[in-house]
Amino acid sequence: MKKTPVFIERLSTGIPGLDEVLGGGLPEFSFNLVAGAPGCGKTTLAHQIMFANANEQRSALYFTILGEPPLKMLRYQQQFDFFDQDKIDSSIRFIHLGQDLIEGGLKRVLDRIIFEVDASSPSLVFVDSFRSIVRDGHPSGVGDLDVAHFVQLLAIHLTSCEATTFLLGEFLEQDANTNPIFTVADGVLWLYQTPIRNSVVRRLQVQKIRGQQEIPGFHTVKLSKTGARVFPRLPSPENPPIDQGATKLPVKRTGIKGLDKMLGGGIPAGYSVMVAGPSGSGKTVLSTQFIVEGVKAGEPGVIAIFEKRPEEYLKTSPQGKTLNDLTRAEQIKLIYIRPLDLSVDETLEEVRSEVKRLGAKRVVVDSLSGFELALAPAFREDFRESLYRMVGALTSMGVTVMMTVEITDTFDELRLSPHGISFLTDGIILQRYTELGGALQKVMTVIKLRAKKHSTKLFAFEIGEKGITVGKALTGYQGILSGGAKPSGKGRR
Amino acid sequence: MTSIDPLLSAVFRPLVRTETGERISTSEQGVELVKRLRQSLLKVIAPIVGEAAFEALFSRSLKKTKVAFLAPAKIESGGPAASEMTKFCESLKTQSATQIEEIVVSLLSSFTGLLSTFIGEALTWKLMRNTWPDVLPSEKPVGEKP
Repeated sequence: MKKTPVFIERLSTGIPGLDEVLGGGLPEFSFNLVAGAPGCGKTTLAHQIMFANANEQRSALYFTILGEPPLKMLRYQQQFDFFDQDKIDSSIRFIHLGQDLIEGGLKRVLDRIIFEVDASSPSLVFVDSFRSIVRDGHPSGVGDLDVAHFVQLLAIHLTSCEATTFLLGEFLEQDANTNPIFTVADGVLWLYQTPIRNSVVRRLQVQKIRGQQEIPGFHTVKLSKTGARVFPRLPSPENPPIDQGATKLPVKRTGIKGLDKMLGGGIPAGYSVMVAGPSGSGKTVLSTQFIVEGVKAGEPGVIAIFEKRPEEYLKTSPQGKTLNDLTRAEQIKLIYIRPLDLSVDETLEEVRSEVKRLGAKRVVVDSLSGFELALAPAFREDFRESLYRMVGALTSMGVTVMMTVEITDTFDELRLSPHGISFLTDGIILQRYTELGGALQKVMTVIKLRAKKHSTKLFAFEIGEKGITVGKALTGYQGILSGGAKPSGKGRR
Repeated sequence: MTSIDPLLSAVFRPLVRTETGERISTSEQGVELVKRLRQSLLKVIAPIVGEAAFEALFSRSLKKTKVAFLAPAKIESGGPAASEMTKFCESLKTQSATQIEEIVVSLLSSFTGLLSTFIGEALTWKLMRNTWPDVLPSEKPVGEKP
């Protein structure tokens, strides 16, 4: 007979993104440690979980000890939207144990917690903050328990009481190797707050969570009036990844006849394509034509812009009026993100939610240079990795992604991107300037398009009121990419 | 001089009378009443805001009420070493029964106002009502102040 494993109920944390990072929520009756330095958001996280879960059937006890005074805690936590005062003293009870610790040490604190838990049988128990007990365990020399014993007894008792428990503690990272609490805990959540240059980055790491698979690594956390929000580093794929070798994928027309021809019909669905070129070469024009063409084909689109404000973007784009109309008609969403302390995950989450909301099939990121600049310095360091994750997450949703990137025309080398990211994309369209017949001529070519036949010729193009028009292939010239095209072979007169 | 919110006075006056069985007739009765009210508040509010915070807020309310109602010479009657509660009760003993009722109502109003400053009116009133559920109205009285 097949043995069925015990079913573990999982509690939703009520914190957007955290359930996903935890691998499906918090196991019921688990003993969890929320660790981090002061001010990193432990209390907010705990309160948000408590207010999301506490109700008439599932009561919560929140023990405060010597950390943040409860009066201050209530004052400041009320500022968050999740704080529901109707639950205070009904489904949520606060119990301050400062006096117990001072008068009776850890033994008294343990007895009191056990007494209160036995008396009301709560489903959720929070002890805030635990480090303060450890540090100030015997302030008056009273008490007869050491910390390890105290933690063990507390863990055993709370688990047997069928309560999901959270100990909040100000720990150092090295404590994780030596402190017995980390061994006893079923779940360990670390919160970090790191100031880097002019930005502050909050992150969360699930160090362990028994019985389920968490998403490893550091995840960005944002605190706002609505509370904490976690941006998973690796969002769950929405659809199975596209087989890049497949040649029968439907293609997405760009809206530029000549370019579609160069691309062998268009961009395969679910591909990521980079449009690289110097300033003013027409990258934005190309990408907006791509988005507008999508709408014509019944595919809404999302444009994430980082440099220009939406009004400016709409005003200066040759397709501005059309874009404006389509934005109003909710066919295109223009996302403007410019704070300088962004994480890639936040941007990705914003783009993902708009893609889902609109049912978008095309996304433009304009531009990667602006995107990198909008990131907090800490995230710029691993820009390549972040971009890889973002592109992967979007294409796994079946979305075709076009990213613009500005390159400097040096004429003595062929650079495709300043970030060394060209290998991350499935396709590259390159725009350049060249001197031809005493005038500056824009040229365009398709550098790569994975698993698809495409033109490798260089084509002249113009930008007019209606956008880009691709001209003839410059087959009779050489030295185009070095900036000065000269007739060669048949082209030589 | 601290002004008393007349709307709060209107709800705390019946509470004081309920607690004393209609009217305060002696100053000793007033002192006992203050001690009893403090105990009731302590039992409900201290577990939530912490005992130290409760004591600090209650002491501050005693001080404010004293400054508003009692002459400076009488304020020091308990001596500097005496606790705020002891000093307050000492001062209270010198007051007439009619005045005492007014002072106690003011003390409750002052404490309510002070707690509201920290945790907001709604939560404060919820806790005050949890302390005296049968006497205080479910909603804090609101209206035009005269």
